[in-house]
Amino acid sequence: MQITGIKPGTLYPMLARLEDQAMLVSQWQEASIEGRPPRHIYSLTAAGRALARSLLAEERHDIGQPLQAKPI
Amino acid sequence: MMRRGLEQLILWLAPEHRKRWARAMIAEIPVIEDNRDFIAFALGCIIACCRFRLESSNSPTKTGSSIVKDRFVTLAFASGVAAGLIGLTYLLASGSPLTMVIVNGGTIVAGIFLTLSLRFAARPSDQVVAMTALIGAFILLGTAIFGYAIEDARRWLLIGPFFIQTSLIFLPLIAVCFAKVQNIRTALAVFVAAFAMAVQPDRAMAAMIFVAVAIVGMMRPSKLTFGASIFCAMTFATTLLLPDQLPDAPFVDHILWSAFDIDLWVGLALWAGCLLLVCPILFTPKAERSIMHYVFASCWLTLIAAAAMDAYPTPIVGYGASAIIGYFLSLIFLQTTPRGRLARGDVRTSVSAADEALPPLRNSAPFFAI
Repeated sequence: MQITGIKPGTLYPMLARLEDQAMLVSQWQEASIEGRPPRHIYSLTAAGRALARSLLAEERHDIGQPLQAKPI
Repeated sequence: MMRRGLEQLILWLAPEHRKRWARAMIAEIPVIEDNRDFIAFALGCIIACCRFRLESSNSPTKTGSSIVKDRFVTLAFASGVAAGLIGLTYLLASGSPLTMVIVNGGTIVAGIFLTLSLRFAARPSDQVVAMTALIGAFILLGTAIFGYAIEDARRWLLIGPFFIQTSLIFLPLIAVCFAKVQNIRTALAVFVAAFAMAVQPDRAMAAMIFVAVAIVGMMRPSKLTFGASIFCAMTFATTLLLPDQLPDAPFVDHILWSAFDIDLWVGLALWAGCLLLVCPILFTPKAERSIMHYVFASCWLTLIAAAAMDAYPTPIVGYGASAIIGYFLSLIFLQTTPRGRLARGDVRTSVSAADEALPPLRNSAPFFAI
């Protein structure tokens, strides 16, 4: 969110839709810092990666790094 | 205290099927130390939960976009399968050779499997759509030049033991691709495909691409779509001037009328099967219909009309795997979105003696047109 500047009101419905369309999977992961609650981790599926690549290609950008699961 | 209250509000606002997302939002809160950032984040989460709630007022389990996407495709899929089953019933009732039933049945099963397995595949990019359309168009042109001919019509490709009518496979796909993406490459595909239909010649298929492209032209007016519409109208007019009079192929052509000779119910079932192919657009609310839906429906409606009027294949309900493949293939491109001529004499025991005079495609063993 900090990098893209997308607000949570936009981001979460977007993520939910992507998960509905099997573009994204999410899972709970134990927090690395003791005392903090588990966090929701998101990662793209193969279909999601293909979609991301095609959208990025349309924008004439290349993906330099492979996409990885990141907490938001 | 305030944090706890806002967390409760977020959880309460989220509809039941989105509670997991509300918990995911709440899980981020402890990481945000600055109060101002926390309030901004919490307000965003409240907005997100309000959106979830608005979506759930349309459907308890799905987002608005997925409903729009699902309804037509689901209906079209179910209609295609049902029409295919009606076709199999007709083939069995009319005493067609078992090979026809196997070819149609096998293709329907393959179509179901392919459609379901690609149900959640990635949305094809514009490049993929355009390339698919171009490849299809050049296959049609190749068929028109190098394909197998019966009398003056050159519409088939010989692949293994099968004669494939390539236009039934690729033309609906090209139409859907053009409805999906209007650019110079998809337009080129339409030009090449329409030209191929004039060269073959095939009035029914030329009419189909003309109607489909005209719909795109009306709904997305531009120089490109207008030019494509005019060119398709010209190629269709050309096919009207060229001879296109093939004799009826049993279990393929004119079956919408000849089925009544078998039984009234068989005839009515075939018409019902054809109507099923048009039903998805009728039962999809107007607000949810897209240009691709109209084009997809128009393709099959035109083919049904042609089959009712003259000796053209009756899609899905008649014998022929090509149309079944074409139906499910174009349906796959919507997601994001018949017949044949038996040739083998030794298995055509139920075919009348008049068929002995049919052209080579139907008599030269062991090939089958699908």
